[in-house]
Amino acid sequence: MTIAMQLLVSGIAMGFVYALVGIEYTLIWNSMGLLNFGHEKVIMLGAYIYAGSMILDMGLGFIPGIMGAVILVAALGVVVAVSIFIPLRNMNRLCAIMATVMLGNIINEAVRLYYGPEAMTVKGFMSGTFRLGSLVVAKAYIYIIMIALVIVFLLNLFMKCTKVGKAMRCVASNKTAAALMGINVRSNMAITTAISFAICCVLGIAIIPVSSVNASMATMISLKGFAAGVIGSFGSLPGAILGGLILGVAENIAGMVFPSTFKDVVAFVFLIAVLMVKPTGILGKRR
Amino acid sequence: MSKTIKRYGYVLAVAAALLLPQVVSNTYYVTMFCLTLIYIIIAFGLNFITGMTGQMNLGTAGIFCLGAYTSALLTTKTSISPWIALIVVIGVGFLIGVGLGYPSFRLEGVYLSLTTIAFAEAVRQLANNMTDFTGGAQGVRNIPPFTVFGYEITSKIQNYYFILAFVILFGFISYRIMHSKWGRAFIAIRDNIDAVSTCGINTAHIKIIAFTLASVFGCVAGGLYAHYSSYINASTFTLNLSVTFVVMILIGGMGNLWGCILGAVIVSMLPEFLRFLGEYYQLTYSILILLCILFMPGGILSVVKKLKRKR
Amino acid sequence: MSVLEIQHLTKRFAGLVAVNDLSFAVKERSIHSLIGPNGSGKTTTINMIDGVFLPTEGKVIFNGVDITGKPTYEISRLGLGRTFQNIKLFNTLTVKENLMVGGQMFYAKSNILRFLFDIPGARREEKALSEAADQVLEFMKMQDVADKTVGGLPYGMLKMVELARTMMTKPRLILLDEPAAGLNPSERKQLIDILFHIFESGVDLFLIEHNMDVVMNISHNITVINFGSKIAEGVPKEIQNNPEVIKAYLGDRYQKQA
Repeated sequence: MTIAMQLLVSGIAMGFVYALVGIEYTLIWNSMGLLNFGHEKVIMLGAYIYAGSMILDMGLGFIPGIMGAVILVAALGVVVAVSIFIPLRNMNRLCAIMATVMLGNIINEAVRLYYGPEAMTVKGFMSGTFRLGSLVVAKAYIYIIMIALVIVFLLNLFMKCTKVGKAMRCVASNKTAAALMGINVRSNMAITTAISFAICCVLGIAIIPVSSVNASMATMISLKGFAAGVIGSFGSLPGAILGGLILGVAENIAGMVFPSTFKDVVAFVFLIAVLMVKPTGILGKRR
Repeated sequence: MSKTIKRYGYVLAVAAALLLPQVVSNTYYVTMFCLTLIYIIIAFGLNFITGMTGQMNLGTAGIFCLGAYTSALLTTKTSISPWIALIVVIGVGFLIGVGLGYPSFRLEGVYLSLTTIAFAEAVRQLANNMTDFTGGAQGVRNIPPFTVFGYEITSKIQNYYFILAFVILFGFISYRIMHSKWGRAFIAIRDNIDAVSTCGINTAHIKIIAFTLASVFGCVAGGLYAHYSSYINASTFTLNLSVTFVVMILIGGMGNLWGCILGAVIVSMLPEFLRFLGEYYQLTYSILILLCILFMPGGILSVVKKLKRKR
Repeated sequence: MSVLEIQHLTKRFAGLVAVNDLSFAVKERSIHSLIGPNGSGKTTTINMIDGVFLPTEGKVIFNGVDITGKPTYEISRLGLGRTFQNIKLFNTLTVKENLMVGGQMFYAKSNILRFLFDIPGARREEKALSEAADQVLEFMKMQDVADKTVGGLPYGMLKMVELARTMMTKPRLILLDEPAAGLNPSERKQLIDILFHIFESGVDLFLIEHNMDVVMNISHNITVINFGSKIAEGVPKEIQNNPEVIKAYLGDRYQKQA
């Protein structure tokens, strides 16, 4: 029973990670109609900037380090939006996807050349365990859940209550109409990309305690984040969250039944199964 | 007129391919040529679904992997000849096409790219983790070579000509399909999918055909690869490889056989030409491809065509 | 006998009623028009007939077959052709290739395996398809543009190409969504000629149109809708004099002429 509970907690935590991935790429998808396949590397970059530059090089504390990293990555988001994403959005979809993949490769190589190929760890960062009766849970999982909840809450507040957030929703639903209403669509897209990149960065930092900082740290979670989006309902933020949670819990439960080496397969088999049964996703509508 | 010129072009290309290993007979290069030929077959297949029909397939590595493993395991675990295995491999390709195409094409949009990634990742993980069956990270060793009239195809040069025969066969099949009602329907779907249904054509059916062609070509290429290299390992078949295949047809020029050939040759030879860059190679390569996409979205062939028109 | 029968068709989009309990019939050997002000539900109606939208309620009977809710490709195989308000063509193909895509389900039916292995058969099929396209091109007097890529053609010509492509599907009835929109007077005249030509060859026509010259000149029957409901039906003369219609739509210009 306690094992099941522990798996549930870690499942929910990983579920929130997938949900954040889902949110982060859905933002860009809704705003620019672009699937950012480079997001995996942005997540990794966030972790490297935090661990490599902010903590190890500059010796900042955990919180200022996080803020520094997030600001840097968000700024990179603006640069990427202006130089690549915005010119790409009117191009054919294949070219756009490949360009984002190449962006990921460029980030990957830049990180390897700058920080070197060795993995890094941050000592004492979100480490330790909570004890609740016989239940032992890594603090990292609790932090991840809390961070995710805060991000979801803040994002929701931002989209509903601020002018920029409302403009983001307008741009998502109709670009021409938004432009006619006096919204600067291009700068709105740049802001959206910056927010998306900032979420990537936080994600990268949040998973440091569970995966250490290395080049392929975000490969699996980014792929599963895609799966989560499709499982929930593609292009919808609540769908991404629901899909993420279902996926996180499902794969941990599957881990009890099947050998743990197959844990990573579960998500993809699950995704294909959902598409066969209800292709628009769990929250999806019919025509 | 231009049609006959094009045909001469194909004859010339075949002649050049036949002469190539006689001129450059260094084993290292011939090995590279063999791999390029295998990639050309994959590019021919990917051309149907991605190049002509305009649907992004990022799971080619999974298709390639399944083809390679099917053939390798069949011939090492049982004593089936590679030729029989090849028929099974074609069947596997067909199953992937229909099984994965059907759920992906009930919906528009990006679903194919996501399901194909999921599929490829699942295949790779299974190949890597089902240690008893696939050998796990050890891979499959001692895969027997093909035999033709009792002769084993073992040396690199023999392999080159053997694979070249397949390239010519698949090139011929591709050419026929591209210049037929199928080819027109593929392009029609890319141009305007709504109008295709009003022509009485079931668009999902056509997309599944295009995707099945891609998966059959990919699986056959996988089978050829397994017997050519006699050793396979799951770590070859990553998402990066899938991306490389798409880059090939994108760089060459989509929806065109010459584009496929050109792209496959360039992408597999590029590491040789850029070797002097050392550890900066990958970075330069990625930046180059990104620039190509941003400033030359029609591929190299589109630039060639534009130059011709100017003259 | 009617070739197309619409029975109590209703479409609701999340509370909004776009088409409300609409019934009418297109008689065999007739040109029937559906008119109505902007936003009255004309295109929605065509989309329901053609299987693009699923009707909320009601039935569509074509040639005695219930086609309600069938997918578009099955409907067009039964002989119901369609053109679009905002022309939908295959821009990177030539005019003739566009027509050949239109006709491939009707003149070249082999499946992919048969195609791959039966090379002479495939060649024969391709020839039959190409000849059918040539015939339609001749019928539409468009031979001179046959090998031009569609992307670069003028707007009026695109409308003709779309009509020609529909003719390749061996239609019994063609639905035309605003065929005269965006055409200049001389192109409009050409269009009317070609529509009569098509009608004489045995194809019935059903059109949605804004241009009254075209509608009054060629229609045998007219159905008028407003806010999704039918307000009048009859021959052009009756419609021109119907006070309800004049109020909703026509203005008084046509009343004076009549």
